Amino acid sequence: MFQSDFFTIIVDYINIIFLMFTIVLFSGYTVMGYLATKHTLHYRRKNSFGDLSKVMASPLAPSITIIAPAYNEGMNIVENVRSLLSLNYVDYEVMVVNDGSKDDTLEKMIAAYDLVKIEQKIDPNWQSKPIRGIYKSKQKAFHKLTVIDKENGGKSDALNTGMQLSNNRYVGCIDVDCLLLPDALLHVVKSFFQRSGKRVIAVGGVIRVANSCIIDGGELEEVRLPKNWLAKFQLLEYTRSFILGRMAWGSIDSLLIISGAFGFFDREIALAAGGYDTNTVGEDMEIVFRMRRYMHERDLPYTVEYIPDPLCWTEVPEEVKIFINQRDRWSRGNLETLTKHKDMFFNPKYGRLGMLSYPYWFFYEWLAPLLEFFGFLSIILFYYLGILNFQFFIAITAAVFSFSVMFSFFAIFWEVYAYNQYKTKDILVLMLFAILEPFVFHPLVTFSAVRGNYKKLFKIKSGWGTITRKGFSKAT
Amino acid sequence: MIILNHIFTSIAPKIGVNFLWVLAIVFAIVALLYIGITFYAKSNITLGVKRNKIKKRELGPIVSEFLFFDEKTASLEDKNNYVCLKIKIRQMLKNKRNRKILAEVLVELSQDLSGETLKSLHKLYKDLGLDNDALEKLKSWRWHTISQGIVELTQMKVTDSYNKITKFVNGSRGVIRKQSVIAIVSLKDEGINYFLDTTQHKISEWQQLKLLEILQNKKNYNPPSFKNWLFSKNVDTVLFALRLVKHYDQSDANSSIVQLIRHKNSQIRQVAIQCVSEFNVVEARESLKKIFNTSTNDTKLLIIEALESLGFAEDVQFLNTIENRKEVFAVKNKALVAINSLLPENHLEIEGLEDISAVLIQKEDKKPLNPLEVTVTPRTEIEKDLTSAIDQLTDDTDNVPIVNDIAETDLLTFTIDDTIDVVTEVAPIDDDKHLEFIKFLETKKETPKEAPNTVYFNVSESSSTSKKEPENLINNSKEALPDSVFKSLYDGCDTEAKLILLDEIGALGDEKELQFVLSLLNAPEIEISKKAASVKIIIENRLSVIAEQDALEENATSKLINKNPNLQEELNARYTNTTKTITPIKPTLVKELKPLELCFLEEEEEKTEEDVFGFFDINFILSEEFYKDNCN
Repeated sequence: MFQSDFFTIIVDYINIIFLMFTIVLFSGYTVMGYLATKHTLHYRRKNSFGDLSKVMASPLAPSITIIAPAYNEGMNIVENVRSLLSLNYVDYEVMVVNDGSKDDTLEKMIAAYDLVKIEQKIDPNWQSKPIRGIYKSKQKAFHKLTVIDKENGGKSDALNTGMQLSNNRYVGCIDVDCLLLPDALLHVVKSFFQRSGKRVIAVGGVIRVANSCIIDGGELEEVRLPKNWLAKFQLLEYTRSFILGRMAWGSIDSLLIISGAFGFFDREIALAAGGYDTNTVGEDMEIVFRMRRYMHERDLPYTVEYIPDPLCWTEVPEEVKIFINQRDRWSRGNLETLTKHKDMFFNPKYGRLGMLSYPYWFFYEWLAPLLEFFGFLSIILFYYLGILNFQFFIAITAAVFSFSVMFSFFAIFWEVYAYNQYKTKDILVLMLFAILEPFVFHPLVTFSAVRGNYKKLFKIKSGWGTITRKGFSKAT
Repeated sequence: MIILNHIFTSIAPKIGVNFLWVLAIVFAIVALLYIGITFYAKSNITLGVKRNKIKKRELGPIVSEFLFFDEKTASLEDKNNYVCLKIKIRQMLKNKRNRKILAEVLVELSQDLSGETLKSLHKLYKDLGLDNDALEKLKSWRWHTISQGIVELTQMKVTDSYNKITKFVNGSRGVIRKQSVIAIVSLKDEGINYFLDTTQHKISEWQQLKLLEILQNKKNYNPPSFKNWLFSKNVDTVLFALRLVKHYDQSDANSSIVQLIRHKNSQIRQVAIQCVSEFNVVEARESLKKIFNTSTNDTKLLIIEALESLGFAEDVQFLNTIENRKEVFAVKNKALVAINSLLPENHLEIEGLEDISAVLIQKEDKKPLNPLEVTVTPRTEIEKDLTSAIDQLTDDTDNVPIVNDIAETDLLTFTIDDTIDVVTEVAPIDDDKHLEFIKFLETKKETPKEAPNTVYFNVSESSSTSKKEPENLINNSKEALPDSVFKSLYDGCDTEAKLILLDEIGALGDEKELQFVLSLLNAPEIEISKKAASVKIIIENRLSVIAEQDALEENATSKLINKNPNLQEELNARYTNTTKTITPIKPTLVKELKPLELCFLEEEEEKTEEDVFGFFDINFILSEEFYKDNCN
């Protein structure tokens, strides 16, 4: 009798922990929704007037280097670089770092842009894989292009090399296969320059899904819903994450991650903080942690800006295996970064960063998938033992499910309000995918996260993996 | 046990299943609501855009009619139509939405129009009373409505609203404040003065950028003397004023700028350093050196850059200390580049740079040199030196004819400028007797005491400098270059003539013109600055070709000089020093063509090159064999 009661109590307590966890999550998401709404409205009103293009040739406009690491990108490199060279800005440099590609990435660039090897002094103390050559174009039309050929050292190493060799005040670290809209740099400069009391150390922005979109001559011709089912789920996830999540964190200056596909940094601070960490696969998150800590520990006023405009478009994986590898890497990167900066956990010295952002990342970005996974195992176990309370299980599942669908619908609403880029039919399809997501896509994400943590925990060697790009659709 | 069981049971929380179902239903209802809101918003946005498009299409032709109606030339029928249109538009404007759309149409149009048509548009906007709507917006409690009103009034140049808008310049809402500043600067020329005088808030870099853009686009704008704000209490005002001083080349603020080099704010320091470099404020060098140690790396780089353009041989010692200190690579490297630039004769010996410059500094007179003073050998001394040097040469070599040639030369007629040209012209000669003379001049270059003077006798050094990018080459020499002959012509021209003149500069210009063209890149007239940018590229392309040719020639010449190494010692230290104040000229100049002014002067005086240079007539072309023999 006692044993039975005691077991019930334990189960009740487990229930309450999970419920509390869920309530905090729901409340957190609701607050996020509110902050994102407020910030989006403010941003739209504030930016409804003014013409950015007029200032692009200003003598006060800063110089920017866009660093694009390339590894085995021979298929699309020429097109991608051409797109980067056609941005609406005067004083910028495109620095492609060929990270020891095994294919013909470098040869294609040399041929297409008429490159020649130049001499440039390099800091002998700089720690990175050896540089084999620095190339510039003989043609004036491509004077903005610099190609660095180096031995393979990974994305972080390539970005660090670019950062070191750049002479400009700001550096942009992007994926070479990303499509930047022509006005992207103008928005970035505005974000760096608009603050007067704080130093803007980094600027991040929305990443949009470009699968199935029509792109011609490096410009986005038509926005289309991805045809592939996995890409559709990712589009929904990106919408939720960038339009609500990051917008909200950005509004309270607690953004802890800037996407590797589109991140701009104050070069001086980035180098002073040590540049990208080459020992993690979550380098985009880690560098923001480090730069923030650098400023915080010196008590310097700073901020990290977030641009809600859709300026960067990228291709997401369409194959399950590649997708799982990518998410596996993300979760390992997450764990590595959180472990490296564990002293920030609930540390009031770091203000909101230590008391809010870090715990959120710990509980809801790292721990949540693991809890979900073990919760799922528990349900199977309880069912097998015949102690599963079906009524309770179905009720709580329904509550969580309807909340997640509601939140996704809210994100879709803001997608329509802010961008209105998809057709009515596409919006309906997205809503359908929001209903299916908890049963199809979410288990995949959870599985990838568990696999990543497992690998990290048991030190199973795993690097970046490879992502095969299909290339953007061309306008016909 | 029972008690324990009871305690656990009583405190263990229970979650009601019904509560969970209620939650699920509530979330589901909200989700359904979102579906409705989403599609409502989508159709609203789409319909709104469509309706506005239709309305704008309808209003567009009416506005055009108003804008291009000419009462003098219009027929009676046209006049009737015009009156009907007026009535129609007045009727339409009774509707608030139509007024809003019309205002939008006019504001959009104003961005594409210019000149008289734009003035007509502004007049139409006021005639239709749309400015009253915008002024009404200023009374709103919503920040974005006020901002919209300010933007509209600014775009439509409603100068009457200036006073009303100035009230917002120090307001508490940042967005309104920024818009109002842009408005007052746009509406009236004195707006910038008012802003700099009264602003109490920080001025973001974005705002500075926008304001500069507005000032740049003002026609016939006569900027105030911005040095008046260089000591404002507001640090951002100082920074902005300093940037304006730099942009408008207000070099009368030099003494204030030198003081600002020591400002606590690193940004102000940096802009001040850029200013002294650009305005060629040589007296700022000591201040630059003093702040070096306490500066950030970025500032250090700027300081070295400034010393490179302002400095002299005596500054090499300071640069050497940087090179030898624990500095970051970029700073050390920059110092090295600066040293090479100041002492280009050592350029090819970077490894041994430390030793060479140390020796040079030791040999230098302890008395600090006035940067504007260079040692110049009196002509009689030159004559003596040359004759004796040649006597020596004749003893050692069989080149007798050179003695006669030189002896016959009237060196007394040479001026300093002539000497530069002589050396310039002598450099590519494929003739032993002339090469001996070059060698003699080479020895003078290596005499430390004559460091500033050596620039005139620097022949082989150009092989290093000429390899530089044309832009760098220009930067190094821009302070020393004489004014372009086109400058005075340009100053007296209207815009159209200026554009034609720029075309001419593109066709004929060299580095002097390039420097002049660079100064036009930020010209207030956009067409001028655009044309200047294209002309700059043309000249740079030409210069890079010249630089390559020069490099080839220098390479060949220096190889030949090395065949007679003993000359240097024998002719060393024969100069006696007197001082004369002249503008210092950088080594890179040596290889330049004759200034256009000199050509014109010669033409006026009907002088030929022979008249000027006597036996130094070097009007010839080097053969291909020369290059083959000496370059390989």
